[in-house]
Amino acid sequence: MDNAKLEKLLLTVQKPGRYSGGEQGSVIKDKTKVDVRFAFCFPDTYEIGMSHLGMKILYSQFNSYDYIWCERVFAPWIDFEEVMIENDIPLFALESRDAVSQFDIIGFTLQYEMSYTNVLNMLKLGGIPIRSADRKELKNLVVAGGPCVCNAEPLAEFVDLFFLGEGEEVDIEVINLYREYKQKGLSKEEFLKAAAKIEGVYVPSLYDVEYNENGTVKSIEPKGDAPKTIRKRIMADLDNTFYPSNFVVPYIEIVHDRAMQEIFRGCIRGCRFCQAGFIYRPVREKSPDTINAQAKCLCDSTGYGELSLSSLSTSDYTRLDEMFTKMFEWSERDNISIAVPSLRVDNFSDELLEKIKKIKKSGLTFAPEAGTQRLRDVINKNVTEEEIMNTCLTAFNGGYTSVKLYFMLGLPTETDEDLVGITELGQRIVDLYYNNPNRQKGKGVNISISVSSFVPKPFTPFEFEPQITKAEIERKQKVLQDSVTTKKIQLSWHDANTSFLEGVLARGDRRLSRVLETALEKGCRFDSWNECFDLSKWLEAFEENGIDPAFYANRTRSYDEIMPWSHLDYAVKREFLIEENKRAHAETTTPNCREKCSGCGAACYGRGVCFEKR
Amino acid sequence: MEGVFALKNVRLYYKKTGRMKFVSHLDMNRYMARLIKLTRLPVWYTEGFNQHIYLNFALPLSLGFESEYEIMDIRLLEDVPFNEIVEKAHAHAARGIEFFAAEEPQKKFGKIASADYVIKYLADENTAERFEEFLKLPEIMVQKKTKKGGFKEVDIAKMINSSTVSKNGGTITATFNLAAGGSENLNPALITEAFNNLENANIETVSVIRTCLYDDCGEVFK
Repeated sequence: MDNAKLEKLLLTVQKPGRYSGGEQGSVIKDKTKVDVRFAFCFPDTYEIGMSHLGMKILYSQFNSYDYIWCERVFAPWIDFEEVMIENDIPLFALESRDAVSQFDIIGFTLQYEMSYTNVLNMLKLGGIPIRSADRKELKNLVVAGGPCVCNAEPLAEFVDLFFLGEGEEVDIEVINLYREYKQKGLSKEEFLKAAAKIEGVYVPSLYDVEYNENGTVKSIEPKGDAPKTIRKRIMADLDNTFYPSNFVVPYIEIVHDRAMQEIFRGCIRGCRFCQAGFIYRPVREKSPDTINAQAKCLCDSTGYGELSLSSLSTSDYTRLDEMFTKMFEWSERDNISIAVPSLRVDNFSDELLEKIKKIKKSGLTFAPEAGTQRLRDVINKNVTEEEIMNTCLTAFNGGYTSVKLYFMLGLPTETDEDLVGITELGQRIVDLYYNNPNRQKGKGVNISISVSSFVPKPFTPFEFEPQITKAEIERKQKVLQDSVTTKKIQLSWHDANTSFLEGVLARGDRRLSRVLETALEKGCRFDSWNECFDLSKWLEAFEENGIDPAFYANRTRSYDEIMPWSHLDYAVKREFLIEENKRAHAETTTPNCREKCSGCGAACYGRGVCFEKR
Repeated sequence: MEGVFALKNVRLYYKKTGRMKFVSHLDMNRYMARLIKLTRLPVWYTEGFNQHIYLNFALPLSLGFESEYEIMDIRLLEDVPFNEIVEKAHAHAARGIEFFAAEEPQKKFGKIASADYVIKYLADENTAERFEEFLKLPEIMVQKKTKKGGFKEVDIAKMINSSTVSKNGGTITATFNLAAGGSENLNPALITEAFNNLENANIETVSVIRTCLYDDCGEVFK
């Protein structure tokens, strides 16, 4: 890399700090002394990628091995991309500034479907052939992990190898194997066959997919010795699993600039729309000692003044009191404020509120998700109106005057009555505030209601459901908007167009790879950004490839349809999902894992909440 | 009766070079707050709702500029020897930030009146000569952005206190002393821009280094 040339060009773009590297905590090694160079690519901007905890964990873990050097790569923003292309600068990693094409393994984390074109665009900017079949050598192996891997079939023709589940062990096993095969000079094909034998590794090129006349999947057959199904990996003991003692600390402002402490994985609740809650089962907690030690270490090494506790449902952690007690021993003295997102409505107490208010008061956010009890029961969000009101009252009594509420529209069986129930609920909360004699005099209340569009996801009871059409989404948004009668409620929502595309990709199959390639050629990237997303290009891409996107997004699946992800095993059984779907339509709720085990299948790992004494 | 303690005011001096030139002034604020936290020095936090470490910077530095004379004030709750303060700050500083002194502040930041800059440009012999002549002009009018977002016509020639130019093949090295501080401040980029516009030229800035700050008496600012 011609540093002088690069630095001169960096001064011509927005936020050059995105590309300059050299941050505190970034790891520099001697490239001649490592056996495997890993380019960890986050398919979005620096600010988004640097807020992602998973990347921080793996970056630190890979670099803890002498023979691996892991560097970071983010998607260049459109202004710098133009500069790069004009000046023949290929995509490079931040630490060494070496071109991505010099790396052994190029790994992507797939956090959301709208990042897929960025994945392809980054390969393109790196000068690397985007199709697996066009990459003949072992070097430049393209791998991917993250939640979307539970159905990454649209990327099956571009990615050589997927990691299912949690990566702390399987990633190292694969990198180790790579090192062996590289040193022995063996072929990519031989490597992939051997890698496919590692549990949790999915090599898409070793599977043939056939389709029925009606477009649904007929069969997914393994080639040779490849396993019929691939089961995800989990980390059995979170108290003895790698966790970073240091983070790379960015110079520029990023989305979440704080120390992050993971407290447990999975979720007991089983809300029927939520993919994360199912694919990260079984629930496994870290002990308060582990959490405390890791958190303190992070704050000490980074200098961060804010710590965020990370989990799918923080108030469900069974030893919160113990954990807070340990943390407050040093957090107050060191001036660290603790942020506690992901709180549930039904176990939010005065005690909890007092604890989180202790250093710095931040906003409160809850997710009732649906406006009526009937619909909340359908989606198994086991939260009553009384609990919502009590929670808001607790917050108001605690001095909070603004609350943010998350809802979804387009949920299965939803009626307009359910929709209006959202704003009516909001109104009742406003009234609650003003009827509260303890409220702060002279201060008004502010309820922000954020409504996203429901997208059915694989491995959830709603994977069979049709997503509502774009037109329906827009109609419902209007119904909602018209039902707001007070300035105290601020309504906001997600763009219907992006929700639609997400709906197509989430349950897509391999035939969508041609569409992705065409979309890339048309210049699609940064699809989750308003400035860049262009639905018309996507619709053209679908049409030019003879694909009807509604087939993926808006179609109801039958219970015996073979899904494009049927060969992937995330522990939660198909039968369980079908049973839950039936219960949803019968408006019947299912208790959470700690109340009663519903036999979802996650117990097959022999760990976690499934084996807790109830 | 509770003892009244006096806060110890400390003026830290540091260099900002290399990749750190891509860190904006606002980002430096955040960076320094974390750095000071890492040193575990007994710093004073502001009072009020959003408490943060008290930091006060002398003069902002434009994105892309390097500097050998940056100043930041902090307040300590306890007396810590100056050399220990420098050592601790230096130990935690990133590549590109080098703390070289800690002293008691002498003058307030409002007394900063000028700054020295050493700037390298790419320019051919002919353009270099024209640049030298340009800098001798008694009046150079430019459009300067005002805080309110509009523009006003300003004569920047009187804000160039001195300038020397040396030519070397295809590069020019210029040393300026420019008005700096709260009341009048000339960003050297304006000189380059003015020259390129008025003379229809195209000199390219390779590097800008702010090397020193001076007070209203012409002495090195401390």
